[in-house]
Amino acid sequence: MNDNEIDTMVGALARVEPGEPGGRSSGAAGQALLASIVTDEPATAVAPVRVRRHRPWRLALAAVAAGVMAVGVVVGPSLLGDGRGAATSYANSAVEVRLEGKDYVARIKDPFADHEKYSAAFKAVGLHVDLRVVPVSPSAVGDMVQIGVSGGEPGMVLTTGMERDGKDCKAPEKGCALVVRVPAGSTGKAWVKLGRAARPGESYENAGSVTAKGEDLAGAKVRGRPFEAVMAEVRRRGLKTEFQLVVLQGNDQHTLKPLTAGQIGPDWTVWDAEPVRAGTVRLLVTREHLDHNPLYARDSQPRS
Amino acid sequence: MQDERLARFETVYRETYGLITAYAARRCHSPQDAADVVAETFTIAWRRVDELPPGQAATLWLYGVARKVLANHHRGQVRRQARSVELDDEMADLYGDSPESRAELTGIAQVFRTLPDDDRELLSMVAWEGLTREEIATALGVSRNAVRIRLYRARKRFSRALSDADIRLISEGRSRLLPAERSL
Repeated sequence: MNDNEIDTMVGALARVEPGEPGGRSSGAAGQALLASIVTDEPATAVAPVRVRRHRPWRLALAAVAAGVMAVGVVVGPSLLGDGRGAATSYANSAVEVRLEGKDYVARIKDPFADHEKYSAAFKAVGLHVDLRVVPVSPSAVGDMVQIGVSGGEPGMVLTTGMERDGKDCKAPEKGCALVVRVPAGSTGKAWVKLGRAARPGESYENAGSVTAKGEDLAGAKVRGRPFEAVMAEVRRRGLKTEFQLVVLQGNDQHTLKPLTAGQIGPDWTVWDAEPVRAGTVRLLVTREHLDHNPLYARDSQPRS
Repeated sequence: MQDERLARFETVYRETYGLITAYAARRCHSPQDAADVVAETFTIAWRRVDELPPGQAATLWLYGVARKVLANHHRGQVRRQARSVELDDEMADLYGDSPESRAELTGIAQVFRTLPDDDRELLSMVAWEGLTREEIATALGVSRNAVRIRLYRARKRFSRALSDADIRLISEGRSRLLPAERSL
């Protein structure tokens, strides 16, 4: 069999015919992926990964910088130390780290502890993870708010969540602890912000939407609705408010500017509502009613 | 600086999205896996945008990244990211008609799967992506001579395995590919 015949045979096996493209970059999926990727900071790989499926991505770098959630984030191999001569388990008053299968599993015993106690525990098992546990809105507890690594090849995965006896659970169930999993043998360094339940009055460090289940405006429709209609719902639920003006900058980018209630007309449009702290929400508005939600890419517009 | 990086990345993304999605779909068993590989490949490309070579070399560089992502994926080291979910539907469209399920190709596909991973990748890069030896060498970061030798051996092994399975080729051009089962 000659080379051409072999190439022909192999070619016939291709799911996507040789010479044909798979997807189109201008399609909705291609654009959504692009938008989501470039909200990361190149080289530092701050990776905003949304928890909920089908939830469109915020394009705004400004909004992302305020805090984003993540489920599992792939980071470089340079993640953690050399691992030589390290213990396989360690515990202090703040955290317990143990090798379970292929992963080191860190269970947070005290989410209010000094972050150095967490680092010390990771270090004891040969990992360099700087973990900060920060207050977040109810639906984001257990989620990664941000992660930073020093780049490199693909492969390593850090995941976070809430577990009891190895199974997913939800705060504030008893025995439900924040957990971080890191593959054993990881090398390099990472810093991670992990969401915990907020104390009364404590400001959240995540962005997210306040209409998600468990949040102050759970189930409410706010996006694209008149300011006065949304305010009626906000008052009905007895919530306090903050406001920001969405300023378009072209090329699907925008910035946010603080506003007071007196500056906003009843017919202005609300494009999203964010959690600020328990009992307080932030409405993002424009004076004009636009033909698309400016906080999201045009081809991945939220449904409501 | 940031704008310039963004513009460069967007250009490369536009030019290579069709190629990388095809690359992933041809090699992954499920649309979800393909979506993961595509999302992870471009995520790495953005993270390392400063290393992205200009022009056509960017495509080869991306193939190289995709190859490593795929290898990690097979080792179970790439987990689902929320962002790849966006791609599931588009990838699923490519999985409607699997060539391997066509009767005349089943035998070839079975033999192909028995080859070492490196053999399959080399044969695929030639036959599926249409890459030259030199391009493959660049993408995989090995010498041209190494590609030449490995490709020669891969073809030889494939050819031998096919004949061991009694599969011959009666070819009347790509659209009429008919391997014949030889009766003993």
